[in-house]
Amino acid sequence: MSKCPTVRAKIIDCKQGAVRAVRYNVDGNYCITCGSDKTVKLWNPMKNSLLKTYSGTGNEVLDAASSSDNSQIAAGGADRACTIFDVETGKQLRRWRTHGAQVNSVAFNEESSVVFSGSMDCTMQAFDCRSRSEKPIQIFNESTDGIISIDVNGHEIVAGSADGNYRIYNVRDGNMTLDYMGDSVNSISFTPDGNCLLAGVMGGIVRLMDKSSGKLLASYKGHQNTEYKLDCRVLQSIEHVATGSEDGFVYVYSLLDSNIVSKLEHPSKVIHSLTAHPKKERLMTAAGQMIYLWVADDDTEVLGE
Amino acid sequence: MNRKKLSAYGQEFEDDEEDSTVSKKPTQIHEEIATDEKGKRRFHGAFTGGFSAGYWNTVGSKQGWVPQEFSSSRDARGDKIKQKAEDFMDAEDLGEYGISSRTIKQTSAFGDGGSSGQKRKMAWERDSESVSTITQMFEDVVKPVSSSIGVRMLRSMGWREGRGIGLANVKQKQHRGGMSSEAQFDREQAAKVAPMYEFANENAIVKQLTPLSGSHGIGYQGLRQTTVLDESYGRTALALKSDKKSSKGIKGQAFGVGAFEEEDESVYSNYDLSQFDFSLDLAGTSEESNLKTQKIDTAFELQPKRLNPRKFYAAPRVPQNFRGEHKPIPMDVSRLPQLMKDDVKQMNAIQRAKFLGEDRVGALEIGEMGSKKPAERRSRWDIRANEVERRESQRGGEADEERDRRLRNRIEFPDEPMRQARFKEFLHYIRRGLPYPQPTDLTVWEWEWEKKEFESKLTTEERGMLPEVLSRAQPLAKTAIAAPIHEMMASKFVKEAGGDLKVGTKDEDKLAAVKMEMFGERTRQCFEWYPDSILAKRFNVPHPFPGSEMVGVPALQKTNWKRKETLEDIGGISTSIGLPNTANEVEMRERLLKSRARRTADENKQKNSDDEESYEDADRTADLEEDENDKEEEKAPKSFFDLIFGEGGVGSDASDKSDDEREEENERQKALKKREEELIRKKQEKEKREEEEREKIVREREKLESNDRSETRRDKDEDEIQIIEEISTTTSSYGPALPPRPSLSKDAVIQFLEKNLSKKDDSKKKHKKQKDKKHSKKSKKSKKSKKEKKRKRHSSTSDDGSSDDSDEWQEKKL
Repeated sequence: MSKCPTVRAKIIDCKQGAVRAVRYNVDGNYCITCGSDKTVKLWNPMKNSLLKTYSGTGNEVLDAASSSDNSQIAAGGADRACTIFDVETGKQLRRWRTHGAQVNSVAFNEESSVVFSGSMDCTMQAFDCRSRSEKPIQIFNESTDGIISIDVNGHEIVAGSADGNYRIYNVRDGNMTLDYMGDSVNSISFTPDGNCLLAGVMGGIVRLMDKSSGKLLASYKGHQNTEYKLDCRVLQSIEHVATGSEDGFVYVYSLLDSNIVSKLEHPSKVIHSLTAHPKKERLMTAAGQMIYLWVADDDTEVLGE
Repeated sequence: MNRKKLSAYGQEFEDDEEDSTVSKKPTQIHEEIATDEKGKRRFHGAFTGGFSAGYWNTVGSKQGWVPQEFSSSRDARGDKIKQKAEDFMDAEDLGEYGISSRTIKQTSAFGDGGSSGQKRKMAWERDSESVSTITQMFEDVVKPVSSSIGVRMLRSMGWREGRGIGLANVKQKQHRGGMSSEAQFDREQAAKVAPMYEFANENAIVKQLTPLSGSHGIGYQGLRQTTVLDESYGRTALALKSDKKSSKGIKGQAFGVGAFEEEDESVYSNYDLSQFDFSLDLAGTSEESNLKTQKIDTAFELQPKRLNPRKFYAAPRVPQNFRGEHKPIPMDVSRLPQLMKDDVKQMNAIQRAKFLGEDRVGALEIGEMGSKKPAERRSRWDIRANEVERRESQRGGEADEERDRRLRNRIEFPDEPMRQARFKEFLHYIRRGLPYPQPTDLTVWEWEWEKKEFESKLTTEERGMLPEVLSRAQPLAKTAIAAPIHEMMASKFVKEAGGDLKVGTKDEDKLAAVKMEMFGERTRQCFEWYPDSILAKRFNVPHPFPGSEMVGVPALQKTNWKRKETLEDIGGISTSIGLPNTANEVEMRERLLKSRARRTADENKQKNSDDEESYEDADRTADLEEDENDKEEEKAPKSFFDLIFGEGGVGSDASDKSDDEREEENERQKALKKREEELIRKKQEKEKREEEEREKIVREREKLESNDRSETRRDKDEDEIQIIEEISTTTSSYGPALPPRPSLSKDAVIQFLEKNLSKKDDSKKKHKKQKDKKHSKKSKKSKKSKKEKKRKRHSSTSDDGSSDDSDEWQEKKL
């Protein structure tokens, strides 16, 4: 039984307006923040150091993702485009402008050869990073409302939509599975083992769904979510579920018992974005213009002895 | 236009390059120049028998003529410089066509002589086409051998001609190895194995002994013909053919043979006698020569005795009194029974034939027709016209017509006017040979039952037409082909309103399931989804539907299939209607069919389960009813549909009739039940009145609401005049809202943290205060609509935050 993160180890003022999203990179050594001042910033959260600022997007950035080889950052935002930055040089490598509305979420596939972007124009689009094509490979237009969040795991893509469904696209089997959640799916993500899905639904419910059968495994209630797109994640140990809330706390639930393990207090009212460390029991949250690193109280690497 | 797409089968011609025009004149002979591999002209001079030399016909090399380097012979006095023929040759002489080609060739001693061996025939053997005697046949089979079996065996053991027989290598080693231990060992071994053995002589003179045949002197070889079966066959020819070519070294002609000519065996020298004709007439053509060969052939002898001579039998003897005439015995009619006599009188020829058991009645009939009317050549149109005339004549008179009309209008269901009308229509269709479509106001089961009833009431004549009608009712194409097309067509057109409403009700069911937390089958739907081939490739996954052109979920497709604007695609329509092109396609179609079946099965299941559930929980249905009431307002009023389709036509408009047919039916129905319509009208009027009242209420409501809105708008406008531009840039107004702007400044955060660090109780209290403040703010906000909230949020953009920031910074400084 690993301890859940309860200690606020670091606070970083990102100085990029409101932080729209915070995301760990693939190995958890760095994190990316998306700002409302049209920039993406790369941080080393352990050292509180800013590594690079990526600018050039047309409007505020709403989501970003780091490629698996750490060479590229995909960003999507209110400029209705999906942009790829070169991590080292900060140059814009690619830009696809095929969406009709703001891009809510971006994700790379495992090989980082395809970028997925979910938009308010009711479509998710897949872009080929390897060709020079300006057009998407495929447009997923099954949704009847905006796509809020995306996650990719292996050969499966899941897209949470404002129409109250999340859709799992299985590239290997060639089928699409649609699960109805009742209300807008604000956050959808695969659990680290890839067998379940964590769906944060508008109205303040986070549900752990069985991927294969679509049955409810657990539901987590207690936080508030009535207005904003709030992230929720399963932590690395698959023992805790963390979700943002609109009452100034990040709620950490026990995955099995679905009771509240801890509430992480934030100065801001709404904690809308969070990301779980891929290898350790750490959590990064974003609220207002700050990002916070939360670790367990026995995490000597961060806290020291 | 892409020309490649035009060809459906085979390999298309390559595109002609536009620049190169095909010259009409063939190249002249003098323009055909032999070139070497570098492209330079090979032959020069007064006649093209000349040759190229040096570097581009100048000097030895690119650098010019390079004299041989002087090397002092002081150091290497004993060495003799060996000059080879190749030292004086050009590079091309060593090539494939050169004098000394360096390619490895099979010598005549091996194999069956190769093609050259076949070519070399004696002059009289050459004209084999005209002669096809047994000797010629044998010649192809029996081949002259150049060497005896002993020689061949020796050769395979490593012996060369012109050398003695023995162990060559040991002999060599005896000389070369000198006194080395190895050579000594070899010698000892050889002495052990074969003590009396002598080593091969290096240059032995081999005398080939040839058997003497004939009566001529020793050493004489006559120029006589031999046949295959002769003992000495081929020997003469072989002897005549000069076989003195050395297998090694340089051969071929350097001069005088053009590149386009076939190399002559020997143009200037070493010709042999085999190239000469030995007789004036061609071999085998003249009788004389044939006779000669027959005489010479002594292998066969005539057998003096005949083998088993054939036995002949004598013809049968005819009796003396036989006369070659046939006399039939006439049938005695008078001896037949009386009854049969009477019948026979009435019979015509054909009937009689049948009676007598004649098989060829059909032939007789035709014969009769033929005899009556000589066959005329008639056009199709004439035949048609004649047939129609005949039919009319067959009907015969007005009485028949009258009967026919009576039949058509016969009343079978006097009590049920609707059914009677349908029956009349049914008859009408049958007589025209058309299948009667299912009426809209009947369910499938009802119609099936009624159809059976109708069919039982048909006259025999009409019943005879039924199978034809049924065959027409079946689809023209097989289901395997028709189903995918139907699927495709269905996906191309979006169903109007009705379908969407269904989806809506489904969603409500789902919502109920979600409320009860009954996730699983009720909230889940599965569709077949076609990923793009590139997507599958990028995911390193084999395409689940190889060869399919489809992309996305065909069942939910809003847009059409992925369009590629090529000719192939246009052609593709025809191919998709026709037979499947590839095995993949067949597979895909099968899958499609299966999936469709599965989907419908699932839907049915879902329906059933839904029905069950609806009985289970009454509370939910109550909720749903409310919703449905709401929906009915959105729909066109029921009376409207009634007006168009007649009562009860709304529910079952799933049949695929054309509008015209529907109208026809409606007219029919109207005519039959005017009374009912009157009633309906009354109803409609009532409903209209109600509808108007309802509308009035709605309008009033709307007015009130719009007033409210305008008020709020005004308020808002006053607030946010300056930020109109901002609003215009952010268009999205649905889905969950964006996260809020930072309402807290950095200092506030720091303050918060400080408090947090200090006594926990104090900080909590203070935080509560903060919270309360915010709550009050929020409550104010929440009164306004969502949109406003958003705009407000956007209005407090970065400058808002920064200004706060700066203010506070200033405060700090102060």
